[in-house]
Amino acid sequence: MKKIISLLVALVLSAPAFAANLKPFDGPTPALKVQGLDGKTYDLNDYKGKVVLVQFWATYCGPCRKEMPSMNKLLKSFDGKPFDILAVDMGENQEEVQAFVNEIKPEFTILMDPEGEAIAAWNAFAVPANFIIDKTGKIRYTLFGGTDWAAPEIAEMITALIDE
Amino acid sequence: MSFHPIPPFHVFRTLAFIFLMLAVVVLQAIPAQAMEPITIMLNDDTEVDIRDYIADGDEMLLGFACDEGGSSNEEQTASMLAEDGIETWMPDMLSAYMLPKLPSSIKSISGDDIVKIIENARKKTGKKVYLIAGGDAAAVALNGAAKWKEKYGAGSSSEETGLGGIIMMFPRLNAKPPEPGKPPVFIDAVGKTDVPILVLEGERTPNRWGLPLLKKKLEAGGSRVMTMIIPAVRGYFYNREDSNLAEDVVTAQLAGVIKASLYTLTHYKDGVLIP
Repeated sequence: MKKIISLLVALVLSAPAFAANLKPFDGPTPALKVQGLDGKTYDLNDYKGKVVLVQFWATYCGPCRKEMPSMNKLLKSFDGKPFDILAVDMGENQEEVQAFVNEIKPEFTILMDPEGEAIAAWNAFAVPANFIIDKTGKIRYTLFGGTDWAAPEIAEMITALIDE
Repeated sequence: MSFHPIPPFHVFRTLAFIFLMLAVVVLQAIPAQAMEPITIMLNDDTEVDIRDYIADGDEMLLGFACDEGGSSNEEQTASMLAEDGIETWMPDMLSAYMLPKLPSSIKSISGDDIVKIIENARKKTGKKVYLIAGGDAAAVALNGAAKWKEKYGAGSSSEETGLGGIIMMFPRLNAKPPEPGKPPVFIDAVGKTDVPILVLEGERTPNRWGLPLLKKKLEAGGSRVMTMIIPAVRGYFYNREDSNLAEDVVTAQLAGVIKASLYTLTHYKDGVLIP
């Protein structure tokens, strides 16, 4: 009986993650220190104390193009709270990324990884590859593929991580 | 080895347009090569129809399409290769097993069947055979090469056995969907052959970043593995309905890309191009 109760509790606790196809992740968190599209250097270490969505994306990725407006909504819904988005472009040049940004207008930070060093370190060999980082700087969930980032279960998951 | 450095995109577009125009003119001038349908038995009750694009050269390609095996781009490419002396066999594996004409169906083709087709090709033509496949079908070619090694032992690319190598275009060899944060898990056949392998990958695909790991895993079987990146194209570029100018250009030049790949596969040893 105890086993059944434990199983039910585990299922209930993991429900929000499964609802958005987010997978709990238990592994090392690589460093992420790269230049932004704006020329500044960004370091994930400087985001400790915040929950962060790190996304690896590309301009040729259809789902990326489709979901970015929902990422804008997600960021806006957490305005004033410790949450941020870092979107790492996968090895494209400044010109094509800037053209994409001008068209899609992401309101979050765009990072560049021209040599693919971060891509390799993060094992991000699919696009989009998403990582949810907790306030201590550790990867907690991953997600492969596009999703509606404005969905309530994602907001719940991020809120839970902020409240930890 | 790669085709880098890449020129600025606007320069590429201009060059691409010129090449496309040239390709159209050249394609119109090329006569269609003879294609002979042949049939071979895979086992007691299964036969496979093969389109044989006949040519005089000493090397031949055994191609596996990643869709229904009837792509017009692939047929045109085979015809152009035959014009250049490279024979191509294109077996219709899906029809042989009455499988639905879906990209995923090709994965169910066994490596043993590929061994039988290679043996038939060797017997009928006496030529050295090179396997060529793209996308999901790359797994079929690799399974065949792995079974070939099982049957003929190490050194399976020797003149005696006659399997020269594999050309894989944007191979999709994952055993399960990718998980961010974890290295890809490849199908069992990866690292189970010792024939030379050339991997062509599009620049505009996340898989290009996994090439160093794939190369290392393929080399574990004793293969000499080379990787090349084709600038400005996505995976499955020659089967895309939404193809862009760069992809149209490379598709029009696919026979040349394959011919160059075959040359590289046969002449590039220990980091040196042997004339």
